[in-house]
Amino acid sequence: MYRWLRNTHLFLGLFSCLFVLMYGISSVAMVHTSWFPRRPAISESRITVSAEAASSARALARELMDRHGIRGELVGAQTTPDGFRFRISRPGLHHFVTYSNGSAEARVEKRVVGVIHTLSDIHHVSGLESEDWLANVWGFFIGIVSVGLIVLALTGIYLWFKIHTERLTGSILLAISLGYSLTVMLLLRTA
Amino acid sequence: MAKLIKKIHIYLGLLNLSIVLVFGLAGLKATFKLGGRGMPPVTATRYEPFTVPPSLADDTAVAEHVRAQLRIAAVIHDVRRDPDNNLAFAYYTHNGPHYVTILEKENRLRLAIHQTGMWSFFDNLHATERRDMKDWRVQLWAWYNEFSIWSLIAMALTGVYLWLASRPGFLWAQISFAVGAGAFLLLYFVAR
Repeated sequence: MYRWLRNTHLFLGLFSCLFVLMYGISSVAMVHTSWFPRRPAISESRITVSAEAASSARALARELMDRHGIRGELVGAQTTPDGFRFRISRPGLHHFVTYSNGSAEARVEKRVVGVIHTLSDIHHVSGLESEDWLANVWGFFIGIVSVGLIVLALTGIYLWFKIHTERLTGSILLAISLGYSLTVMLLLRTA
Repeated sequence: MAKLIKKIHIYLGLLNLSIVLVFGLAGLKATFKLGGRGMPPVTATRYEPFTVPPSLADDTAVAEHVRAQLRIAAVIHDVRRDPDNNLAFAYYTHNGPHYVTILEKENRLRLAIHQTGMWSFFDNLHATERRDMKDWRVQLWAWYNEFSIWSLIAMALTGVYLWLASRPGFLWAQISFAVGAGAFLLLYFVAR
């Protein structure tokens, strides 16, 4: 039992290692925004659009994806006084598209962010129902890593308990940890 | 050295047990859209006497005054005006949004609570990152979250170290690392 759980802990930990580091590093970037200011490289272009594509944000996004190689998820679609705008986003790369009614062109602003902010973008990818297959693959791995975190926590407790010399110190730390976190959780849930 | 690293790995694990479980549950919620989507229904509405203190100059100050009076554990809040030009606040808490409308002519306020389920509660816990909010309960959790972020990085690194220091030639461990790291790097570069 001990050996089996130790190996499970090891395999899951190693499998999840880079994903966990991604979550940790991107969280630091999100919490300490002044340490990692978001300064994307911006370029702008104008793309000719067909009359059918100009009918809606979804139709225009489809044309940009099919004919101009722009990949990602359609997000933030909004109507504007003279047309509409939306974003096609994937980790690290965002296309901000603006279209004015009657125009033959769409304005596309491309923003490329660095590694840290790409990790932050990946941090927010989740789910298995995206139109973008890549987001679904990410979502699948995020699901595995999420289960992995729960199993790592539970097997970790078991493995610690089997080390007799660490029981006293560990018990004190665990009591502090659970006492603090469960109390605050309860306070927040009943607030 | 390995003994010290092992102690650090174990102690960080124990200190972060519940929050690592929260991270795992939040990940499952996000992956499988557990607990439903969209705005949760109104679970309670009540009215309370309220008069805007003359000393409060702007709407944001009133929002903070109301939050403190109602003891709402808000992470963030929005200030706006409703269609009748009443001052309205949305307080986002771990339990779901609380909407307060100040009915100045009636000298009272209306509080509508949208209570979320446990899955959203865990998701909101994992995302608590601001430490500048006034509510002390939110601050306590935000500090624990901050501690856990650094701990998570340290646990991942010390875990790899412990593997390399103890059983670097273990084939299944090598395969696990290679599959996980390979998948991550492949997805990262394809996504870019």
